[in-house]
Amino acid sequence: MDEQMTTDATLHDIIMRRLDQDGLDGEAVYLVLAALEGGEVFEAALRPEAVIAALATVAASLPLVEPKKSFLQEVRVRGFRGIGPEAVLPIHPGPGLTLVVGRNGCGKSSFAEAAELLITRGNARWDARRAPRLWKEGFRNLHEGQAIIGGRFTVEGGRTCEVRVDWAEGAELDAQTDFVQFVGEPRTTYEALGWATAAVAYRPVLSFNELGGMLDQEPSKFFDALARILGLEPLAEAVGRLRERRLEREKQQKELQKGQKELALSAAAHSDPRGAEIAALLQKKVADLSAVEKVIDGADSVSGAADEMGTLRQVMTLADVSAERAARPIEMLKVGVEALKAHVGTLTARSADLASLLDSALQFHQKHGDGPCPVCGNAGAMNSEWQGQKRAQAAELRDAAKAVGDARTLVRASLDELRGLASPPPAVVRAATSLGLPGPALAEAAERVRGALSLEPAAALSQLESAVPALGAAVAEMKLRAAEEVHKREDAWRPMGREVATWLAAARKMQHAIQRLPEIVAAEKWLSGATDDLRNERFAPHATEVKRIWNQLRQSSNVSLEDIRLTGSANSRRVQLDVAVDGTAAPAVGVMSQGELHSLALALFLPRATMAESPFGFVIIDDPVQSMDPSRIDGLACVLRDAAKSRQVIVFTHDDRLSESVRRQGIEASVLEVTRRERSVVEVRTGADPVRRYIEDASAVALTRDLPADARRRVVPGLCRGALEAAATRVLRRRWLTEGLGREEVEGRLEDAEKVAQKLALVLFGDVARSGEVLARLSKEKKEFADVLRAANEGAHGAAIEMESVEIVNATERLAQWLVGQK
Amino acid sequence: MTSSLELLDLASGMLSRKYVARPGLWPRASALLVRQALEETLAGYWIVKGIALERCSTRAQLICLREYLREGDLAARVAHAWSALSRACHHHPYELPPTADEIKNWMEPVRQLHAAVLQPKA
Repeated sequence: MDEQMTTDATLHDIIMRRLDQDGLDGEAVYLVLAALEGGEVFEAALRPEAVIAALATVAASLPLVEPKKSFLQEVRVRGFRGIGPEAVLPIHPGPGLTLVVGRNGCGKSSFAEAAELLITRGNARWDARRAPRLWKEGFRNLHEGQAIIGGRFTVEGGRTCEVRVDWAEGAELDAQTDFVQFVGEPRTTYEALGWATAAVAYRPVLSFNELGGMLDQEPSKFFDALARILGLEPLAEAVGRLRERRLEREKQQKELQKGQKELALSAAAHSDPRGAEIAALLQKKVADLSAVEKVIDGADSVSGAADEMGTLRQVMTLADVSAERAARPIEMLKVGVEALKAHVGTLTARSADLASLLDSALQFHQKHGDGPCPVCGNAGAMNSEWQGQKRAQAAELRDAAKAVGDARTLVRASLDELRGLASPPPAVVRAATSLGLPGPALAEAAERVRGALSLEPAAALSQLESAVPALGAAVAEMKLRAAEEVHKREDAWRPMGREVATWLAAARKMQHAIQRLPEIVAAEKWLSGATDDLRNERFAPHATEVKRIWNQLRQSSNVSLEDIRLTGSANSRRVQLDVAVDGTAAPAVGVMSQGELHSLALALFLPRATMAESPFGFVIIDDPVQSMDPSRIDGLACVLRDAAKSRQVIVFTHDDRLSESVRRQGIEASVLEVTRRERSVVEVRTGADPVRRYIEDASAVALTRDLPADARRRVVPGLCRGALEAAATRVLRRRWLTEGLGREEVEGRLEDAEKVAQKLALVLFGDVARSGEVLARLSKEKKEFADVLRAANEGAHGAAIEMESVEIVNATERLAQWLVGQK
Repeated sequence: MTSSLELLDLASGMLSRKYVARPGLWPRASALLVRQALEETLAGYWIVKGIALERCSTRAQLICLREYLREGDLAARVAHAWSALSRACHHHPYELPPTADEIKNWMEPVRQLHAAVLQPKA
């Protein structure tokens, strides 16, 4: 069975429902779900394209099944810890209370540890012990080479499981051999039992150390120990994943912003105007990275300041006015001027006008026919001969006019071209001048050329001969200076530009990464809120149970447990225990005695160990009564009785107080006594009430054949006296407690009545001082009673007694019965 | 009559499982034997010394022993063993039988006292 899976699935279900209700932003929802999955799914979800895939992997919901419970049937131990030859602890396999009583060091804890090791196997607790090495090396019993621990578990539904761990002689603690088998079935493995995780979550074994240390440890560990039972780890882990990512990105963001600030400062201080421009862009919290990039290249400047570079570039691209470049238009001008000069003062100069006049006369002749000249009246001047003559002349005239026009066009074109060469854009020249370039010289040279061009062409030609080369030189000078300036500036900018470019690349990457930060923040916030709610929801019934147990346990304690909550998250998580001392709120741990702390720890952990989800039907508690007041032990007995209604409760205890309380309160329980002889021989016997036990022991000694007669004679009376004392103790305790005496008072009085005669005086007369009258009173009741008391008392000190051993035992039994019958 | 040393041996035998009576019976049984050995050794000490103290209460005898055994702390250890054995031999609520080690420890001063009886120079 896989507990973890079922828990996960249920959680997913709950989370899905809550996500539906809360209307969280879609992206954040994906992140929540992906974070729950963890691993690759989460990694992928941080890339948007994989979000859908993350959703698809969310597990389908499965119902939680209460597992079949296992009960302990017996624990067998050999060569382990305090137990040498094999010792068996038999326990009734089912709900009920079993007390295992034995002195410290008698080996009872070895049973508890063996049981724990069988159940938890290589569990962390063994490694986390304060002196793990010491324990690891000392797990073996000195008197027995081979170490074997075994357990027989009865599983609900009738199966029986045999679990065994053994170590070869000299083997290390972790070099163990496992054996797990359900009776009548093939061998299986420990892992198949599914106990490892359950043992951590429900901890069916509570040791004294654990109870004591529980409230002393770090608050977060205590929190974890309690939170584990709620099955919310997957949520906490998911929150952790989101938090990790958030912190990582926030760190990146901080670094980016820090780098940005530093860069802005150094850029602003840079002599290059691009520096100021970049600094301005970096003032914004989220900088426009592409704008920054454009500024680095010097392209597409936004502010006027960066036009300087543009100006220099424009200067550098000014048209050259070299001799070659100027030669063509000047040649053209010369040709034009020559051509015009050839026609000056000739008919040709007027040829265009004359041609037009002749054309008009020819048109007149064509329209009106032959006749006299309409201008001078010369008769017959216009005839066909005239017409032919004049038509040829007009054509000739028109050709001449065209040559003049062409020359004029040529002159005009060359002048235009030359003017173009002499017209550097005034704005550029002005801007360049302000950058320290020789703009005025250029402007002047250009002005001279343009001035020459406005003269009569022939005059212009002569002036241009010197003006054009001067302009060429000025332009060349200007361009050279501009190029030098650009070079100088680029040299100065390059390191800065490179720095900005490097930052830009990192910033691009980080901006991409932190893009999803708001979603991660939202997802984390939501999920941790939901986790808190769920935790409190799930913990509430648990807390009620803890309070119930505490109230039962506390008895006369003035500390009441008001509320218990799991609060905080991450490193501040802790268990909030609200207690009140006589109704006044107080910090929990501070006001409690050691005994109260143990009680509280027990109250906290018993509900956990008995949860329905646990596969363990048993709870093993090692020595809960240490440092408990007698009155609290009564409460403990009741708590154990209640737990034993549905669970097998096995309690190891180092003294008789708990079994006495159980007996007195009429709580049904089996008592097992553990004793340890020399060489680690550990014996377990079923405990009856003390009177019975003394009688049985005495009877056994009286009948034992291999015991020397003298030993028998000496031992039997002492045991019989014990039986009488136990009977008297029982009567007195019952009497005094019914009379309303406090437990302390009762035990104190019993301690004071040291001698058997004193105890009997209290039973018979209610007066310890009247011990001298006891024999007479007994004798009056039955002669045998006085005889047996005398025999038991004196024989216990080795005095020779007339009564036979067997006879003493039988008479003692009768006297004890009579005593117990006294009110 | 069994000597006090024999009583100690009997008690030791119980501790080491020489006599298999009921399991778990031995602690009280052996404590009873050791205490008797102690009391008898003490009585023997007074007889050897020629001081008629053996009829007094054991408590009184132990107080006197302090005066006669001035050297070392044997008297104190004998007294301690006796009171511990007495606790083990009487029924006390909540108290479980003594352990084997405890009984062995209590036997030691008895043996030493016995040795002191055999060499009554002190």
